[in-house]
Amino acid sequence: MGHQSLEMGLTAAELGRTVRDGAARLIARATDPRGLDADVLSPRVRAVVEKYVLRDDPEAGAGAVAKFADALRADDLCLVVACERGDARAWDDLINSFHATVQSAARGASASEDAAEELAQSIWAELHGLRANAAGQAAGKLAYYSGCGSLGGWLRAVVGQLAVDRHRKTSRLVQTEEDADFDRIAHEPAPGEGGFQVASSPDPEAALAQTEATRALHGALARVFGELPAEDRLLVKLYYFDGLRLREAGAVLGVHEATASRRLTRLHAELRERVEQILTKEFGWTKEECHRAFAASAEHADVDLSRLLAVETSAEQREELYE
Amino acid sequence: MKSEFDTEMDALLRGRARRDDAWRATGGGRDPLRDALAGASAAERGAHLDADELAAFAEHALPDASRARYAAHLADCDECRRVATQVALAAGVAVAREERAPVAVQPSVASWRERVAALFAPRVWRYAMPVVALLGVGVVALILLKSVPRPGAADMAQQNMEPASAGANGVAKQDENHATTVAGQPAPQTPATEVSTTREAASDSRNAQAAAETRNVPAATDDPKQAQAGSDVANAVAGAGAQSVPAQRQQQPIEQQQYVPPPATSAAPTQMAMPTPVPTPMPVPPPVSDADEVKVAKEAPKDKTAESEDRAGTRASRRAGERGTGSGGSGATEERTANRTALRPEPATETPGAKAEAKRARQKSEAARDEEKKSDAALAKPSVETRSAGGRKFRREGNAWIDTAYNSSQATANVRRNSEQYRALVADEPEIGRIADALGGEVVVVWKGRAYRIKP
Repeated sequence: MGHQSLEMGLTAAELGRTVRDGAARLIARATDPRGLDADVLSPRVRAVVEKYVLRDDPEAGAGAVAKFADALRADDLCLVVACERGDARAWDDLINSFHATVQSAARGASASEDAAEELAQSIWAELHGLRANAAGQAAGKLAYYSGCGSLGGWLRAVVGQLAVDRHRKTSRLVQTEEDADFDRIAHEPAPGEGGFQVASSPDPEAALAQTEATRALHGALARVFGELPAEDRLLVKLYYFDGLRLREAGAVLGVHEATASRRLTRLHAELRERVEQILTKEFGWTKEECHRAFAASAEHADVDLSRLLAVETSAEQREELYE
Repeated sequence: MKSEFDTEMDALLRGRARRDDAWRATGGGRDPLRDALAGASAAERGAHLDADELAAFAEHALPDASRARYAAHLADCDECRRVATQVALAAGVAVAREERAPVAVQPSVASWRERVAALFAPRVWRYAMPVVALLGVGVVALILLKSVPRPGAADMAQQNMEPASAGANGVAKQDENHATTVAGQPAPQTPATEVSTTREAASDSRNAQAAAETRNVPAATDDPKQAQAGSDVANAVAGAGAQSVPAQRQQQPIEQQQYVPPPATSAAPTQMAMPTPVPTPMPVPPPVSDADEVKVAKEAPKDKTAESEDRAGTRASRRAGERGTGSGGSGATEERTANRTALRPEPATETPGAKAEAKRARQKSEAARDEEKKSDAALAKPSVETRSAGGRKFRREGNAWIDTAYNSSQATANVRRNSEQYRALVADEPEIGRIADALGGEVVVVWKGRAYRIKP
């Protein structure tokens, strides 16, 4: 019976028991449980399990749940829960331990020291909360910390999101001179509609053919790209669209730089192979035509560079403000 | 198949990314290709990830099943991907530094077990084996000599005990101490000498320092403990490879104890040659009680009176004193002779053999001493160790590397590695992290006018 329930997923009672045991083990391995017990932590642990385990794997067994619970950050979670319960010492410890982290994250997300200081202060206010919950305690963002990742990482994410929100608000209000240039450029034919700009050619028909070929190639590329696994797409986005180095992209994905490089190389080959399949089967191209299209499109990607660089420079400035 | 790294595909994707930047910068028009590359629309990809999900993803703390879902969202959502990247890079920097951080060498906190184990390391034994072999030979010879009666040992001991040379004042002091001790110990001289020489062969080779350290050693006659302790040389040698160190230095670490044998002279009856140190294995500390006896026996001054004789304790201690030290005058000599005769007859015929044995042991001990001096030189680190890192100079103080610009009176921020404060500090000042990684262990660095003590 127990084995069948494991195969079919946990019952509510089994889940509750597993969660409570996990909470008890969490308390046991915490260096400072801060007066908490398993009963206090069980609801939080259960919510985390449901969010990160059972949502994507409803059939997860007790072993998977226990393993996940045992990986939670015991000290960080106890600290946060104690802060939520109004433990003054816990709040002091939180501020003392993570003040530097918040300041550092705020500095990275702000354009000036004053803005960073103001952002950091806002973070602490957000964490503490301005509203009171049913128990009359301040309800802040701390309630959203699960213990799955580190408290420092969570704080950095909170700072980053708050900075993004603020920038989104301010960017709608101010139009800089660069924006005026963007408006002008925006009235020019978009790359997708107006065709890919190519150097002026004495043969308009050849140029048109080239443009059509490039369009087909890019269309096929987009299709294949969308069919890639999420992690592969994420790698392409991180490396090409976000401009990260392979080492940094690997850090986001949790792999070594060499692994990221091999994965990228494999992606290139897969993309090319799939694109050629589409072009040959659906457009009737030959292999030779595919190769020429690839070469021409790669070359044309640089032709637009001079025009795009002017825009790119302004985009970088905007990104600095954004950061 | 193109080359391993498809440059054309790389150029295509880069061009696509540039267009995407331009599209975003212009506020965007409709671009089907971009939409395709962008993936799901905002509505389709759902709400943004919360901070907890972003942090958990960035730190790779999610189960595989849920990770794929979040990866899909991040591939499509620029904002969430940006935040996740920031968190991941911050965490990745901290992890990389933790991985790169060398294991701090903290010999001072090594347990006694580790210290003992280090003494028996192969490298140590490489130098200690010859000494141990000599010690074994000396022990065997000592046992053999002890088993044979030597009636003329008292005279032999007196002749072999020589005053300290002018170039070794501490040795002269040692002689005085030895003589004082020996004076009260009526053990046969010959076996005492033989034992002493054997003992000398087994003693610690750092005799020069020991000689210097004995300058301030008070007369042994004033210390009843010396007379008592300067006794059982045989036990001391057999037990430990006795060290000819004054009793006053017994409180010093064994490594600092030194003994310098006096040069051989045609000594007057009142002068007693310092016993040749017996080679001692470097890592083996002698038992305190036995070592004390040996030290006292060797340091017994040659000119001390019969006061030390009265303090003679056991038969073995008397014998050791006579062997290792000189007499303190004719009265003392007679006393010793009488006691010796009462306790054990000394075979007069063994005196030349004892001399030869003593000479051989002396030569062996000198060779062992030279070898140990070399190893000591390698181990000793009298000079301050310095290193440079990050354009700064650091000096070694105990287990810590201290910035030469550091002033102990200035305010210092204590930061522990792998703590949030450390990560934040390194995030703000990466150079500090590089310095800490290069040096390892505890580091005190002065950066922009502020001192940071980075603890492991």
